[in-house]
Amino acid sequence: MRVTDLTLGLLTLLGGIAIYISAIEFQAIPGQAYGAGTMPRAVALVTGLTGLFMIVKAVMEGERLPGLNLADWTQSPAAIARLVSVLVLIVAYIALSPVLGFLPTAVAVMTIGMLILRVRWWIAVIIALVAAIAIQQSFGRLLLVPLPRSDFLSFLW
Amino acid sequence: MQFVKTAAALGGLLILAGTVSAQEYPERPIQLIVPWGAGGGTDAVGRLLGAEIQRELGVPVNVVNRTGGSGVVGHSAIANADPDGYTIGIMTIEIDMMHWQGLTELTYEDFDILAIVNADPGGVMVSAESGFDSVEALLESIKSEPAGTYKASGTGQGGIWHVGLAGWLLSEDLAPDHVTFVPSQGAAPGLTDMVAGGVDIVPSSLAEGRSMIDANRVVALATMSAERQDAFPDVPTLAETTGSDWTVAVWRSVAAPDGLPDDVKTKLMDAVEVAYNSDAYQTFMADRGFGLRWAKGDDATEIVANDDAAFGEVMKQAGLAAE
Amino acid sequence: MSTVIDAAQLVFQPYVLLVILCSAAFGMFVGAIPGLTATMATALLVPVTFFMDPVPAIATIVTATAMAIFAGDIPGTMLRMPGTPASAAYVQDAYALTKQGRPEAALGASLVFSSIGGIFGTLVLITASPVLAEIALKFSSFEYFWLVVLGLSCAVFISPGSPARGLVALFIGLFAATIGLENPAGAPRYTMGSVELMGGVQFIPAMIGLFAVSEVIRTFIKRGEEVRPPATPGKGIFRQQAKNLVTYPVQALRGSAMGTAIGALPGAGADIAAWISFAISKKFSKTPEKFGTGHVEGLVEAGASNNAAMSGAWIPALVFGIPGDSITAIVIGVLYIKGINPGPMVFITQPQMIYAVFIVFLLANLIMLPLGWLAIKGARQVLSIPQKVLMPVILMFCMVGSFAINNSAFGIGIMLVFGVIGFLMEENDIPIAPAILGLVLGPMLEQNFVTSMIKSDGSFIAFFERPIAAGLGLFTIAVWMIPLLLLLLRRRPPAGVSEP
Repeated sequence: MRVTDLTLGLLTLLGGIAIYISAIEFQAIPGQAYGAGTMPRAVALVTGLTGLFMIVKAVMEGERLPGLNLADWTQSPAAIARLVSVLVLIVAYIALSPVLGFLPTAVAVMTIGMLILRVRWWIAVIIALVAAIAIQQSFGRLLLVPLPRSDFLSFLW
Repeated sequence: MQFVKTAAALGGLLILAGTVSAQEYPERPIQLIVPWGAGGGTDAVGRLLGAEIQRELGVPVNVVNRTGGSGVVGHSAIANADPDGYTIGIMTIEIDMMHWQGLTELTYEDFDILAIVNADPGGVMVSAESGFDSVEALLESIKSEPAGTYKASGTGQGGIWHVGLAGWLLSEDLAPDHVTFVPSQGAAPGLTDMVAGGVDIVPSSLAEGRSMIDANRVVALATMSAERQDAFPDVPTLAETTGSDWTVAVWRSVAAPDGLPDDVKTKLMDAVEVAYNSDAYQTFMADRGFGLRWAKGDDATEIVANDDAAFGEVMKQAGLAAE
Repeated sequence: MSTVIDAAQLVFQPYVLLVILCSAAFGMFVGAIPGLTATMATALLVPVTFFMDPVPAIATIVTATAMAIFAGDIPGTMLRMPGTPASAAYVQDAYALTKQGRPEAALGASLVFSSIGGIFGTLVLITASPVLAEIALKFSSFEYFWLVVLGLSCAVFISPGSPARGLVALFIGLFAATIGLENPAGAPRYTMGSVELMGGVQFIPAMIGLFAVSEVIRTFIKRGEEVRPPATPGKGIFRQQAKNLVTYPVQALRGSAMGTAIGALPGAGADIAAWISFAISKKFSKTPEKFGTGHVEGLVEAGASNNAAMSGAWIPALVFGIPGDSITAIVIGVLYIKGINPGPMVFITQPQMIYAVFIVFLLANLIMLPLGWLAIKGARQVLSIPQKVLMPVILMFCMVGSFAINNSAFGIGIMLVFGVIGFLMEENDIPIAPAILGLVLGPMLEQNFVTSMIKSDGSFIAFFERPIAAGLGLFTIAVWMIPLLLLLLRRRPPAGVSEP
């Protein structure tokens, strides 16, 4: 999935404009000419200019319409499903770890991840368990990172 | 050791199964939230107190840094935790300012304040190359020059030393922005900038400028406290010199979310008191040049409330408060 | 001379040496875990140092941080999870070497030249502290502004391929840096009412997302079936580096010197040092086209530079008690507690203490070599694990690391968002490294620009009024104008700009 120079130039220009509009409400420090809006506006300006430059250059090199070249994997529903599965796993960890506690959630996330990549199930479970305990011991106990705990399985904490 | 404790706790659980509230507080690790970064003064105070509270209560006290948003993130995390005594935190003076700035709804009333454990008065510091040797001479010069000639720095926009400076200027019948404030990310960058010739005054606590004062790069002209500071006996108070009655001090406190059960609150307050009086804490604070101050429970809350009102007043006049 | 002997007697005691060894191992461990920083290692050690004498207390922290900074390169090289923004400068090359089955070439270079840079910085610290500190004290926001602009300019020089796409990446980073409350005005921006967003985008979770999570996503798409060349047996980590030293002596020296100089500035640090060094290395390289494809030249220079900057940061810390970064800030606190008040007087009143600290510095940078060798040997085992087993575990590490930086699930959210952004960027040949640069330097740019304008009452001329600022400013403008002038003179686009 690769956008052409012209497309990226247009997107960049639009991004610059969007940042500029969003920055209008930011006010200067009382009694000063500069403040919260200075930086976003400056970023918007250089972003917009870069976008314009890219558009001009692409047009000069013969591009006429914004285009998009699709990579091979976008043709495979299974590959797209695997992409989405990574995001789902992360969201699931964020949502479930405060409820279930670190250990069960981590084991589940890693096991499912490995199953998606077609690791044999018993290998997946064993490795997930070992890795989760190792992370919990090193981060949680040695380095005092407050990993999510819950009353469920809390004796392992 | 940990294992033995866990096993003991587990055994206790089994024995007392059925009697729900029989468990005596505390029976599991306590989290102590520090709203500022690892390595700063507040972090050091939190870690040291945490270690002493741990010794007193017999359960681990884990220090957790929740930084960002000029303290809003960490203070919100403390206030939003369950008031069960297993989450406490170091509450800093910013709690009395951020709600005036309109950054958050959170005020000191959302906390059960256990104790104030430290206070450092603001000061007036100038570069050694500035030629000022007294705060009267500095004030004279500020008054005679047009507004905005002098620049000060040492904290963020609307931060404690900004408010401290504005309050002092008001007390000397000057406009609160007669000296332009240049926001910085703390006292150290402000002091460095002053020595480099970027700004003229840093109104932060003298403790923060100590190494530069010792190195004869910075001159401390005054302290914004009612009495002289032990660590800086030669530095006069504002009242002694210009006659201003303005005082300001940055304090640190130990606080818990509002609504702590009474027995838990008493137990925690006593533990903090023991920690405060420990040799380790007392010598640490003296060695770092931090000011010791003790106020417990309601006394502490009163100090916090008074500052809240005073800062609100100054911030409104200085245009730092949100409408 | 007797001072040095006194100092040596303070250091060369079984107890102190044991402390150095233990804290070295601890620092190596913490640094090698993604998401935990050298600052975190130091903070965890502070309570331990309360019970020690001054020399072992300082030795603990100095050693642990030196190790942690190097060890941060290990996850960067093996898993594409740079531990610090400083190592993000060259993670592209390091990871490319791993993919070719030669992680030792990358880690070896980073180890040996980290050590060389650290020792160089220490020697400068010993010989020239007071002089350098005087210069560093002349830097105010005007000078830092130019330095940051110079650092940002590197985005164009370091990005492989089209400079325009490098700029797009930089702007993504700069924009992300504006989110939150930490700006000179103290006004919330793009927070959408969220308290967590007031804290802004922390760069460690963002970095983990951009580099590591995007890699995990790619592996999942390919179902972990990408075949890697088998790891070639190490030909002796140190022998390779002897060859590198002969091939790139100028680079090593230049990186060390640049790192020390930038590190000595209290408002700059290892990050800017590594980026500028990497850009210089590419600019003056005979083979700039090899950068980004697993070339050690940039690793040599930037690796030396960031460790030299660590040593450089101690110059203002010891001479004036001014912390250059969060680590020196912690150590200054510990020094006070131990009754050593940093400042010019300490060189006169307690010279043996200062020399003891110097000796510890040298020891720490030397002990890094054998311990680092062990760590590299251990780390290479990671490569023998199949991708399809490794990637879900890495994903877990990413999440725990992002959580640990501020102990909040919000960090995982940042990681997720930037993981997707990073994936899309790389799919479109937009380099990732400049985005990190923008994220790290954006706040500094804003702070120094806005405060400078307040100080100068709105006059741009002030940026050229002070001698150092004027010099830096003219140099920065020259860096930008000369390629443009050449471009106009030649009247055709330079090679490498047009994409196929």
